[in-house]
Amino acid sequence: MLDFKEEIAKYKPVLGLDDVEQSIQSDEIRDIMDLLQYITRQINMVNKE
Amino acid sequence: MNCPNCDYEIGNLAVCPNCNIDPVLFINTGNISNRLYNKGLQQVNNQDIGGAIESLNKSLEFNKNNYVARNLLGLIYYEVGRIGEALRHWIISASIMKTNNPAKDYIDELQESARTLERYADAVNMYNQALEYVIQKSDDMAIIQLKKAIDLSPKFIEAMNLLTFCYLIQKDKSNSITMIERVLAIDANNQIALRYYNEVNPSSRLPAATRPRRQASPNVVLESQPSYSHLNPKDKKSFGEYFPFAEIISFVVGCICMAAVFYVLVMPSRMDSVTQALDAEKSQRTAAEQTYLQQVKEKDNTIEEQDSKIKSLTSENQTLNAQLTLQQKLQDLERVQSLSSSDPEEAADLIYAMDPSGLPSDTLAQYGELKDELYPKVAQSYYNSGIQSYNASNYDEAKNYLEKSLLFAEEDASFMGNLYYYLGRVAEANSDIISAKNYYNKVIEEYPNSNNARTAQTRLNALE
Repeated sequence: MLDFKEEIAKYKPVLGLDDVEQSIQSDEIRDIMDLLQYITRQINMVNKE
Repeated sequence: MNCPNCDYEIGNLAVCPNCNIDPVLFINTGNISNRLYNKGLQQVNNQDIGGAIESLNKSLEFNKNNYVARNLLGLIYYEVGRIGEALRHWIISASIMKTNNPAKDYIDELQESARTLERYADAVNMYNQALEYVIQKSDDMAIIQLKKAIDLSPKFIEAMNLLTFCYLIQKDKSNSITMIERVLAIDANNQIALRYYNEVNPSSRLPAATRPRRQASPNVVLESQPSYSHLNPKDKKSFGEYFPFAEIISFVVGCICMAAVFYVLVMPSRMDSVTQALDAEKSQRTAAEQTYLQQVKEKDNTIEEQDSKIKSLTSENQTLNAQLTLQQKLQDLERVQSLSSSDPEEAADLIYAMDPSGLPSDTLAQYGELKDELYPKVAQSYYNSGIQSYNASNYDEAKNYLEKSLLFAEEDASFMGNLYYYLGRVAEANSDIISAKNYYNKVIEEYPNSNNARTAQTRLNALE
């Protein structure tokens, strides 16, 4: 038997045309290389301190 | 050797000093991203739309600049009616690779067919509105919106699944199955649709028409899909030469990323919550301290008030006692006055026992007058009684009278020599020789002219 709350939580609003520009500007998705760069920068900062 | 990311000359260094990138890892992640792209492409060809979307998103997680993966992902989103996400990926792709990028053509084409764009945009808005209705449990309104959305965008999988869900809520089995079959015809492995199908028909198999097919049926979007499976074959080989344990490294990198995410996202919030808890504890403690101090202050005030009250009452008590004593003295003095003629001995005893301090000046004068009047009279009276008792050989009684006479008599009274003499005789009669000698000596020394001075000398000589 389907649980309404559990099931409806799986549905998310779909990106509309009006929000595309904002979604591109606020795109903070990082790939693995971004994360590694971030970690390296943090380690370097700690070492400098 | 140059850095594959920023083209900086790094020689044999393990990490690029310019962009902090490990070139080996960079090439490796690029290869993983391409491999996931190829997998996504394969899934699209097998009509596994959901799987393809997942693989291509993962591909971008490994390399966000993989514009080819972005283009394909945009095409898939376009195919299933998610126009906003399609445009987003194509725009990002066009900004990454400005030349020879089909994304630019896709965007141009879409902009030229404004009606299609509008239709898809309306469908998305209706879907979002319907989702709100479902959350508010307005199933009927949601169904109307979703039907319209599907009319405008016939391959809008999300809308179809939500519509199926609404039918399931309303226990409309026939419409549910129709909608599930429509979804599976587009996305053969759609997990939501398969689950709904099992919910409606737990025992039966899927209809043949909707079973996943190994070969995709051609359609406009998929036909336009370019094949990028030939990407980077060289890289794979070169990576294998540098690093044979690619999978292990991928796992380790994953772990590092998770740790970094935990460190960056989770730890600050946990620290914040701990700090907030400490602050709350501190403020509670301060409040409790203030309350305690307030209570102590109130108690001190109460004690001070009580002390002040006690002092006031003590003072009042002392005043009343003084008044009482004075009243008593005045009463005694009145009694002395009334007894002075009828029982002067009793009156003298009373006035002798009285403490004149604190008496008002006029009463004090009265006290003095009574004393001057009574004492000589009573001294003489007791003296006479003492002599009578002595003569009657009643020595104890005589002693008592004579001692009382001595108490009230003045030093220059005429009978003082005789008084001491008879006190000596009484003491001698009572065999108190020492007292007798003292009394005789007193007569001889202080009253040599008295009648009994010579006799006292004789008695003293006899005793010695």
